[in-house]
Parts: sequence; C-alpha cells; structure tokens
Amino acid sequence: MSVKAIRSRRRLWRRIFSDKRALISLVYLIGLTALAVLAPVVAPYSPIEQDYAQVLVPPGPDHWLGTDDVGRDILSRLIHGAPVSLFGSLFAVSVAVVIGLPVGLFAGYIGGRVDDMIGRVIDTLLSFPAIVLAIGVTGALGINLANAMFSIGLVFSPILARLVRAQTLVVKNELYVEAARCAGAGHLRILCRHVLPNMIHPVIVQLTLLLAAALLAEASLSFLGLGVQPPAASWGGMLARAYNYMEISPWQIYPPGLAILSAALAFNALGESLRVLLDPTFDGR
Amino acid sequence: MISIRLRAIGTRVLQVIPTILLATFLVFGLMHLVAGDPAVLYAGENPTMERIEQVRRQFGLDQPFLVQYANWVGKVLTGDLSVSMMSAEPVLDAIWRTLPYTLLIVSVSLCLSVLVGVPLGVAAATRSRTPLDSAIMGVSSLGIAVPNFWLAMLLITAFALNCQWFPATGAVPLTENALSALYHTVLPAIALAASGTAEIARQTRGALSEVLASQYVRTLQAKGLSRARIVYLHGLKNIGVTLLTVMGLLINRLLGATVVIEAVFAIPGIGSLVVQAALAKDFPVVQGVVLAMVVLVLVINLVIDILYTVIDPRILRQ
Repeated sequence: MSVKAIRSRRRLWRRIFSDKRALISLVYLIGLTALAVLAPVVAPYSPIEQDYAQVLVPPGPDHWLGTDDVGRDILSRLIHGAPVSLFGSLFAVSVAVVIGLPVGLFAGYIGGRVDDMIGRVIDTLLSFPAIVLAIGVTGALGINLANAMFSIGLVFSPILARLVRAQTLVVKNELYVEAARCAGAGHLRILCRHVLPNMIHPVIVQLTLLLAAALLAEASLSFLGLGVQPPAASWGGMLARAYNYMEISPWQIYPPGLAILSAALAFNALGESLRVLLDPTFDGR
Repeated sequence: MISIRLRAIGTRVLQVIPTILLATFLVFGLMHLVAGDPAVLYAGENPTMERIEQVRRQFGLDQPFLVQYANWVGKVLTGDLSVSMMSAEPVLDAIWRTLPYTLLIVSVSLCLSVLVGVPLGVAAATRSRTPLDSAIMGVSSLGIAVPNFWLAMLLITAFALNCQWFPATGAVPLTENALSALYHTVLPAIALAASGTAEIARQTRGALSEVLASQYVRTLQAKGLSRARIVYLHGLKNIGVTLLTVMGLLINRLLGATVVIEAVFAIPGIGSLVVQAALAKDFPVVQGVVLAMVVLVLVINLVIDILYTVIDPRILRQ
C-alpha cells in the first residue's frame, strides 16, 4: 500500500471518529458481532432447551426477558439469533457481490451491444418485487436458512450490478485508464488495479445499506417460516412465535423487534455517514 | 402536440412488450435453474421414479429448454398458467381471487405514503437545519429500518387488543362491503406505509431543498411572491417528476412487503398465496404469482412513464 493510500485511510478513520452517528453505529455493530461470535458463551441458558414448568414467564431476575411458550429463555434465544441475522446478511451480501460485481464490471467495461443486453436484463430483474422473488427461489431450492440467504443475495445482485456498471461506464473513460492501456496493461489488470479501486466508495456505501436490507429480508423470511427452521433461534422466527401469544404475553414481541430495528438502523446510519465521509468533495469540517 | 404525445405513448407501449417477454424468460429460466429438475418438484412429496417420469412426459419436461419455454409462453398468452398442485385450482383463478385484497392494501398505503410523506418532506425542506427538520429525518430513519411486520404487531397490540378500535386480523372484499373493507385495511395499510412515507419524505426534502436553492426561486422571491406560493406552486411542480419516480419504485417495494403484512393480518391476498405455495412446494403457483407481479409492476411503470410526459412536456422532445 502506498503512503498516500495509508494517509487517506487514516483520514477516513479520523473522520469516522469525529462523526458521532458513524461512531455509535460502528461501535454498536462491533459489539453485536462480538455477541454473535460469543453467543454460546454469553447466553445464560440454552436457546432450544424447553422447560414446561416455566412457560411464558414475564421478565424477572431468573429470566431477564422472560420465557417463551415452551419455557425457553428469551434473552438466550435473542443472543443466539444475533449470528443468524448478522452472518446471514453478510452471506447474502457476499452472494450479491460475487454475482453483481463481475457482471456490472464486465458489462460496463465491454460496452456496446453486450452491455445493452445485460443492462436490459438487470433493469427487468429490478422490476421483480425482491421479497417475492426470494420467496420463489427459496421455495424452489428448499426451505432453510442458507437457501433463503442465497436467494436474497441473488435478488440483490442486480442492484449492485447496476451501480457497478454505471460507475464503470464513467471510470473507464478517465485519463488514467487510458494511460494504463497505453502502457500496455491487460484488461484484467486495468479492471482490478484502476477501474475497481476508483469506484469502490459508492459500492461500499451500497453494500452497507444492502446489509440492512438483507437483515430485514432475513427477518421477514424467517417470520414467514421460509428461513431459519425451528427449534433454532432467529429474531424473525421469535416474532412469529410471539405473535401467537400476543394477547397473553405481549412483552415477548419487543426484544426481537427492537433487535432487528436497532441493527438495521445501525447499518443504515453507517451507510449514510459513509456516503458523506467517503465523498471526495467532502472537506472534513 | 397531441399527436406527438400519442406517438410518444405508442412508442413506450411498444417498448414494454420486449421487456415483458424478457421478464417471462427470466421467470421461466430462473425458476428452472434453481429448481434443478422441475419434474421432481411437480411430482410432489416423496415421488416414485415412475411418477417423476410420468410428470416429465405430461408437462413436456423431456423436451429442450427453449421448446419448453415456447410452449409455456404460448400457454401463458392464452391465459393458461397451469393449475395448483395442492388444490388443482387454475393458477390464474387463484391470482384473480387474491389480487384484489393485495391491490387494496397497496393502493391505500401508497396514498397514505404520499399524503403524509410529502407534507413532512416539505416541512423539513422549508425549515432546513431546525429541530423540526432533524425530528422528521430521525423519524424517517426509523420508518426505513423498522421491520414492517413488527410494526404491524405493535399496531395490533395498541389499536386492536388494547383499544379495540380496529379488527386485529381478517379482510372483507371491497365488492361485498366497501366500508368494512376499508375499515379492515387501516392497520395493514399503516404498517405497510411506514417505510414508503419515510422514503417519500426524504426524497421530497432532498428535491425541494435543491429547488429552493435554485436561481429561479431567487427570482421569484425578488418578484415578491409569498413563501407558500413559491413552495407549493413552483416547488412541488418541479419535484413532480422525482416524486413520480419514487412512487414507481415504491409500488414495486410495497408489492413485495405486503407479503409479510398479509401474513400478520391473515389477509387472503396474493402474498399469502405465494407464501403458502412456497411452503408447500406448489411450484406452478409460485411461478404464476412471480410472473403476475412482475407484469403488474411493468404495466404500472408504463403508466408512470406516460404520466411523465404529462407532468413534464420537455421529456417529449427527447
């Protein structure tokens, strides 16, 4: 890494530290990730062990957030739901990157008729309501968390492909790309060393926002019974269960709902902050 | 002028046909790609080898992909979307039966989003960098991040269980009792409208701020026009195209999000239809609903495209 790159990276960190919203979101997400990794150690009870002597217990000293309809500790299930949401969204967004990034780069770089065709396919795919398409693909692949997250990644990939394509169309005509070409650089080298690094900022912003969308989509699919399968814990699945007992134990709907809301909020806030912070015209003060 | 407009509309209608054709190809191709062997899916739970073979011949799945696709499109064009594997009901009938419920919720929440979102956005833009602006933008961040099905549960808890103002679940067809149908739609539509309202408020604020900072607004101010006249007459007119674009994207998103809302409120809409079909591996229904939804979105986008030319005649000249 060049000295200049290190310096610009340091500047970015300084900006993040001076932006309260970005800092809070980042700290919250790092904390959540730590919780997700350490879930088996941190959780006070087993997330799936049932205890019919302690059914629908309200929050108290033994069970901080109470127990569900088969006597499982809600706090423990909440903690064990964190890796599902976080790593699930990460997996979905990775799928979107693996499919969308090369397609967008290729289409934008090659241009012409092929680009027109790919662009049209991308636009048409974007006309599909994403959740409905993800439900269809999950149903066809087989119902489990991995397939659900793969489907979400698949339906998100055209969003990324469109952005990457548009950025590539701009960057490929820049002088430094021309210079690299004159210096004899191959297509792959130009794409990886010159085009990609120069359009990465909007892509990073989009990825952060997509993480929030993937998290909400995972919760929706798990709520519908198309994601995580019982007895495994997930925030969406917990809400589906709590929904059935809303009249007798209304408190149950709050912990998973707030968990989903806060995580999505943090990803969105971080994305919006990065959009400002990564903007080269931003002067920092 | 009218003939130019008609020609522009005609071109757009013609342009949407290849897109719809491409969409049918994508639905067919994608579903067959992810399904592996569709014959196994069509054959139902734990099929025997003979059953799979029989299904393969029956549905023409032993033919080349493109022949299968052509056969399928031919059938779709005559209104034959195959039949449900669970109930043997024609898929098209199932869609017609469920679609009205969904369209009612989606259109009511679209209206709500615009009627609440635009004034919020205007208020935020005209009082930029005040506590009111921050509050509106903060609430809209919440609206975008809140899981809509959880919001639905909160609404049910507050207004159906605690206050009993509205029914908790269920739906009434609009044709049977319009008032009761709308009454049942209130809570689902609010839950669905949260993210749309937030999105519209943000976009309105962004677009209107730009307009208010422009040269011609300064000219209008210099001419002595009142603030309200500038904002509501000239400002809103100039962000009309932006609003229309956002609404187009929103309809797509609402049609997706309604799936989860319908599950919470036990509404027998097209979303419930596709979820039950996916859970039961009722492949023809899933495929039919996905196709119906994308065609619906494309047609609505066509209408919006045409409305562009009405709102902004400059588009005609391009």
